[in-house]
Amino acid sequence: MKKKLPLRQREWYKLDNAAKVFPGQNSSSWSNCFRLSATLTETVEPELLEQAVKKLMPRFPSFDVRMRSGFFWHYLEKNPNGAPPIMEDIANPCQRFKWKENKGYLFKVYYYENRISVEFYHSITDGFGASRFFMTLIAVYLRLTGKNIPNGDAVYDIEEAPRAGELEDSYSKNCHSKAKAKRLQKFTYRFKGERLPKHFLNVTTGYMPVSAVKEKAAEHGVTITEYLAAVLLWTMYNLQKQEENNKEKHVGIQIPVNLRGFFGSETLRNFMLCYSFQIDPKMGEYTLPEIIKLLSLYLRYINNEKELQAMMNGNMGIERNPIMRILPSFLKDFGVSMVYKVAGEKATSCLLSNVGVMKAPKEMEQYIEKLVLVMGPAMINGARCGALSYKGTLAFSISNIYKSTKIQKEFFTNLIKLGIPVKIESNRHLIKGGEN
Amino acid sequence: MSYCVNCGVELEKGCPECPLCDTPVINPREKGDCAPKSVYPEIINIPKSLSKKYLVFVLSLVMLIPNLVLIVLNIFVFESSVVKYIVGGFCVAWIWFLFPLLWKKQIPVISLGIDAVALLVYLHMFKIYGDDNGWFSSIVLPVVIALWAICNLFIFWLKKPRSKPLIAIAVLGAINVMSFVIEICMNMFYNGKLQITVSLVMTACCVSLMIFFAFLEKSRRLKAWVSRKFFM
Repeated sequence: MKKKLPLRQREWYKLDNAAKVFPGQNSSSWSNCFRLSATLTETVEPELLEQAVKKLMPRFPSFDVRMRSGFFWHYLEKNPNGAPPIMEDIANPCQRFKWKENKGYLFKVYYYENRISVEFYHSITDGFGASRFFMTLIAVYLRLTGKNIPNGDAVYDIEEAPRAGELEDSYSKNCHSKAKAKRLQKFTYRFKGERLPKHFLNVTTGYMPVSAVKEKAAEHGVTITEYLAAVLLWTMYNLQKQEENNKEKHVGIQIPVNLRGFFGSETLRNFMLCYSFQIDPKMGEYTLPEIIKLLSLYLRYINNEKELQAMMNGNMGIERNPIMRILPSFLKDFGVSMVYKVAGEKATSCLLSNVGVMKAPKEMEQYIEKLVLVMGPAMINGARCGALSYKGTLAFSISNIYKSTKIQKEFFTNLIKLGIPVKIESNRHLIKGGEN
Repeated sequence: MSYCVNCGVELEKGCPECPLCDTPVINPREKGDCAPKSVYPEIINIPKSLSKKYLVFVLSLVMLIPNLVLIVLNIFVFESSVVKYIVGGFCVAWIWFLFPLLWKKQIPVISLGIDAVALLVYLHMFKIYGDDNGWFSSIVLPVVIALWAICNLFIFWLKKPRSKPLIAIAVLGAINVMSFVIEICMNMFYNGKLQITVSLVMTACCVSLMIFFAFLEKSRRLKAWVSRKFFM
């Protein structure tokens, strides 16, 4: 960690607009992170995995960084340590990131039997960038085991030099709007209960056929994301109804959206925004078809370049504010941490991030059994969900910080009642020790 | 393959119970077929937290620097009687907050005893350098001893697990007793007679709250409501 590069070699990047928030939120027990896992057909060899990570780093310079604190802002600096350590996987994933741990790298590589997992700190990338890095890592690893894997789809050519567009801050480049989107959201219902101890997370993954979900979504004329988001929102709505003495708060969901398609960006750094949708139970009883209709109409209404520009401009406005700019970084961190603790997650009951269909070259698909996206823990919300489709199976993970499994049970049971078969796996039996 | 009879989800092969609802899985066809295979390893990793000794060292340094500057200035630049009180205050704060962090195992009676002695020594300094009209022995000494005794009793009582409403009742009781001790000592010192007024008002407030908590301890419905509303 004490290694220092000569000044000229110290490449550095400003944090993009989304990434600037995460260091302020970081604490000794919580970080905004997520995990991608691939289950291979063969047992993972850690030595080869280590080699693969080392080979990969020059192609992905925005991942080969460590977090540094400047006077006004945090920034990313080229990491002189070569590559992060390869670690044996753990039962309690998505733990906090500390700038000085893991050789300073902001992603962690784990292996367990035939599974490779990488956890990413959100400041360096979003779901799209992480998936490209991850799939390329798997491809490089498989090549080292003697398989012939071509480049293509999510697998990048590691012999090629990184393109400038992959490293750009697409928020600054594409934010031209003069309008600012209003961010007024009501505080919503959130599941409450006894929390798991620090550093523990209950991850439940449900596997379901993409065709079954697609069929159900098509019945309502909506996309898979819209359908799953609506079922999740309906689950939270029903959970609130089951509780005694509640005031019937709004029920809300956050859905991150990849902006690359709208603005033609190829950045591997963050380039996403979150849509927030809420329903007000005081307006009357909601049925699932109603929620599906409202949610899809809302998303289709807001899902256009102008609205997104205005949302982006709203976020950039905070960063460009002269008072904000002259505040020292520790004060900014303190402010962000306070705001996030007080109000950050209270405007949403749950979050669903769907990275969509993960495509890999055909030669590679035969060696990967399944792919899973696991969202890191929330600070107060019990449902942070990640969805990913691969080879006709949709893996839906729910990360819950509470001991109760009510959210997972209700959600997956709802899917079964709707006619979608679900197969479950969980780490719950392993972290039960931590529950006592 | 097995399915949970309660929630309907398909389960992993050999899974002894449903991870969602804890319903036991009994599948005669899978009995002894294979051991349950976990998708996660059994390794539980708890990240290292900041070393307590390092924390004490850094905070001690932070406390030491302004004190040293004050002492040097007091010797060479100005002479102020206030400096010794400030330095003394820092010493008490160090003993209260940082010294316990150096202990491997906390022994509450000794720890509280050291805290009480440190406080008494500090206040005794005021007696030595300020006016001494008997306030130390009449007010400070009995109040600090009573506080030490109550804290010890409370910790001893807490050795057995107690419910939150019961703890609240005990805390309110302790506050009430302390208010009596303070008022009696003050009145005996200033007026020379055993007069109790403010403590009775305190008693009325504390007792009404204690009744509320006692009711909370009994009523499951109220307990559930409060637990949900106040996230207890």
